[in-house]
Amino acid sequence: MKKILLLSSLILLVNMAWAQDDLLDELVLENKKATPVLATFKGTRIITGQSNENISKKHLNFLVLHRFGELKDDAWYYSLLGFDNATVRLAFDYGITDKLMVGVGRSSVLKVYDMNIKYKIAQQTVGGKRNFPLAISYYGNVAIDTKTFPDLTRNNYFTSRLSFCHQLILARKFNDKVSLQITPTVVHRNLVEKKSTPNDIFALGLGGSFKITRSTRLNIEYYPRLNGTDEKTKSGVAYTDYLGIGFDIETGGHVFQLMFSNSTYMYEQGFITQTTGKWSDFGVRLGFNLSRTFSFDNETKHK
Amino acid sequence: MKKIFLTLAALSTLALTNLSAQVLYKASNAEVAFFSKTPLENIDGKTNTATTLLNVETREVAFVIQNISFNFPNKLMQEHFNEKYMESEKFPLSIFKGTIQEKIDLKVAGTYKVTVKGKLNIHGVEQERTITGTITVADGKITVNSTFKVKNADHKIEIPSLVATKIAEELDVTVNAVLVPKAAK
Repeated sequence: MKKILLLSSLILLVNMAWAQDDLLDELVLENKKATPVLATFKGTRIITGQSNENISKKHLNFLVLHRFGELKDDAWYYSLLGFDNATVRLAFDYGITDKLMVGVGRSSVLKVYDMNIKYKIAQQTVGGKRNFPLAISYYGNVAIDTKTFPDLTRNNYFTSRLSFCHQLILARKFNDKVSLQITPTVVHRNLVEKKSTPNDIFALGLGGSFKITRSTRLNIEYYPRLNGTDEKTKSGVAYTDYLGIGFDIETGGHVFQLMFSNSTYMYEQGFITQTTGKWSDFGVRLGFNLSRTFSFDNETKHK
Repeated sequence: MKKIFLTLAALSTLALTNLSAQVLYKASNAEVAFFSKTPLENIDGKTNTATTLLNVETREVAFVIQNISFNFPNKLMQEHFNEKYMESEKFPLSIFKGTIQEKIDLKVAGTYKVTVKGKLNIHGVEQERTITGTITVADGKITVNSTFKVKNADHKIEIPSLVATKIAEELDVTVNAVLVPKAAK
């Protein structure tokens, strides 16, 4: 009986103690929810290749991308660091949902139109009791080469103009400063230059972003090919693996990306399989991406 | 002996129901909004999932907001708010806890002007604050309304000079919460 008495007094005590509990404890516990990690990368591209980032629903991104001529081509002052031989890609990306983004672009190199889609399969989360460790996205595109066919006497098919790229994007923001990404990629060309050239090229993209200040980041991106590494252009120049190093500078609605890379191409088929510049002999180009985001989301506009 | 035990048991149960059902009032859908007004740009963020608890006996009140729940018309601003200014991954919550200074009986229906003295924690920096507001007790509900100002500098939220003309130094905050008796567990 004494035990029961003790127990009931204990219950009473616990109850009283519970009542004096801090109001905050319960609220803080209630707010401990897993939320998506933000800003793994600053832009929808790490440098030239895709990042795991999308733009939000009903937001439009206007991109102006430039790659200058190779720095070794002329004295720097003669072509102003390659400015005179610049190539351009203009593009629009649009967020259909927060997870699905579509885009179109036009490159001046090879008169290429490209259409692309990026879907967020999973998001890395933070702050919950159990968090998902990785952001997973799919990116796919089709590029249409609209240059006049070199040999008009041949039977030329429209499908010969097409090439495709599929990427699985695996990204993780390790902490406030460091984000890394692995991007298994396959590029398929319907028509290749030589019979011996593989139609499918596999590559393993590697990317990283390092925060310098709140508004600037240093990015690195490398796309080693896994096959077709001894391919050459018609004139006998060996294709090389793409490597870029760049800076992000963010100013409110703009993201300005300044980079050095060895490719003139600004779509995946180009920079992964057709890059010819060599970092080792200064075949490097200056380039920049400028992106501006516009919101067309009138629903969440507050009155 | 049995009688004592029964009395104690009854007391325990009474204590439980009494404390949880009638003393604590709660809302998990409180509205908190803030406005930044400058000649160049107006920025507003709003959440309607702020949580709040009020103890009518001790007159203590607590607010906890998940920073990432603030919604902006422009999602890029929302990202900047969380990533650059609030650092929401490091400091996920904004917290206020205080005590109503006036000795009012919150069990009696009516509208009361109140002064709440307490601590406001934003961006991991705590500030002693005295905030005024209105509390309305009616139909078993307690409505809390308040507007006050938050200075970015008070909470070590640095605004880069590049955007300093677009973000106000002092933000206007409005709070609107309807609390109901907290259900017993």
